[in-house]
Amino acid sequence: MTTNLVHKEIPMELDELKSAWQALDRKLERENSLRLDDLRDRKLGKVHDSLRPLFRGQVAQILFGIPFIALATLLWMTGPESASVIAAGIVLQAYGVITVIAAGMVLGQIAKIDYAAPVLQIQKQLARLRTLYVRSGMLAGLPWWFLWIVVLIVLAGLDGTDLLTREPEWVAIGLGVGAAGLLATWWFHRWARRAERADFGRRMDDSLAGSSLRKARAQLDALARFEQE
Amino acid sequence: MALATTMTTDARRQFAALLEHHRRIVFKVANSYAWHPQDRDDLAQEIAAQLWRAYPKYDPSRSFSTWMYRIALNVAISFVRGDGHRQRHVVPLDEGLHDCADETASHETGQDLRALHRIIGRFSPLDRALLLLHLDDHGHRQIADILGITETNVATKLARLRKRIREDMA
Repeated sequence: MTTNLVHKEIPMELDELKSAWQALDRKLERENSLRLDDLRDRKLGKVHDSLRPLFRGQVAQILFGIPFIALATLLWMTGPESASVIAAGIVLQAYGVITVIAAGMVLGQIAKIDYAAPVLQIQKQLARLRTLYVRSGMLAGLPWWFLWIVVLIVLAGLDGTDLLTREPEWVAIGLGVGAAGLLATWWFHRWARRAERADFGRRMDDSLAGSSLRKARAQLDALARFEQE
Repeated sequence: MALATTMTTDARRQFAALLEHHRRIVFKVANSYAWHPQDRDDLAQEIAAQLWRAYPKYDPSRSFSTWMYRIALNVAISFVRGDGHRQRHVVPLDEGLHDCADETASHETGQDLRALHRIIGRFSPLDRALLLLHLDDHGHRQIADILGITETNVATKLARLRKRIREDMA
């Protein structure tokens, strides 16, 4: 079969393919029908919405960020006096607000997607959306190298305890572990991306940030090439 | 989705009639981007659902087929690229699997259809969109409008596609 296809008995030129295309058109017209009832009956839930997982992820991130804003609010209600507790409260509140805002920005981008716009414009928007989605997730996840200490300081502060004054060594060790963890993450990120470990780096990307970011970058590059050529 | 549910009965009827009239666009796009019959069916339904959602914002002064092509191609390209979800059946193009040549068609037509799909399958999603629009007899201007590139770019790309097909089949 494959050998036959390469021989001259089949269309060779782009314009010659049109007769095959017209034959396909007739065949499709004969054999296919759309389940319009599904649309009329609003059974849209059964149909995939490709952006739904992104949407759900961002809603989850908003729900994740809100408790930290609430926790910081609770702290303000106790009227903390210690500078370290106040600082921890500010950090925690900022984290909650930034996490929610980042997710809100992605949701805003999702809402802006209008599939009736030109193909290249929408495909670029989708690729940028993927990038934003992954970065928003990193923004919510990476600070946890330090944030767990901040949360503990705030929780202790709710009882009127200044954890930094009471257990300074413990807090210092926690901060040290966080800094080491963050540095190790950064070093590992760089190490895995060296040319000789390209495959490993790709696999790590896929496991840490999903393949989304890499794919989105590749898509943006492909779109730019398509636009320029 | 919220917009679509607020459509009046008349608007729904109008949409159903337009979709029925232009439904071949949906099938052609689905056929060019999904190889497995079940994926093709899913993609066609996803395109139809997206059209349904977008219809309340459709501007009747503009071409319905252009509007439809934009949505269909955007959904199909996203489907192939796995934005959010993947095709259920990730399989290479296989003439046996892609039931493009039916029993009623002549041997020659069957071969032509298989060759057509083999060629379509070799191109990137964006080039495939360009090829599909060209095969569907759209002018450079309309292709440029649907894809969002310049007419000159369309002409250049079509010349390259033509050359690549010739080389591939030589």
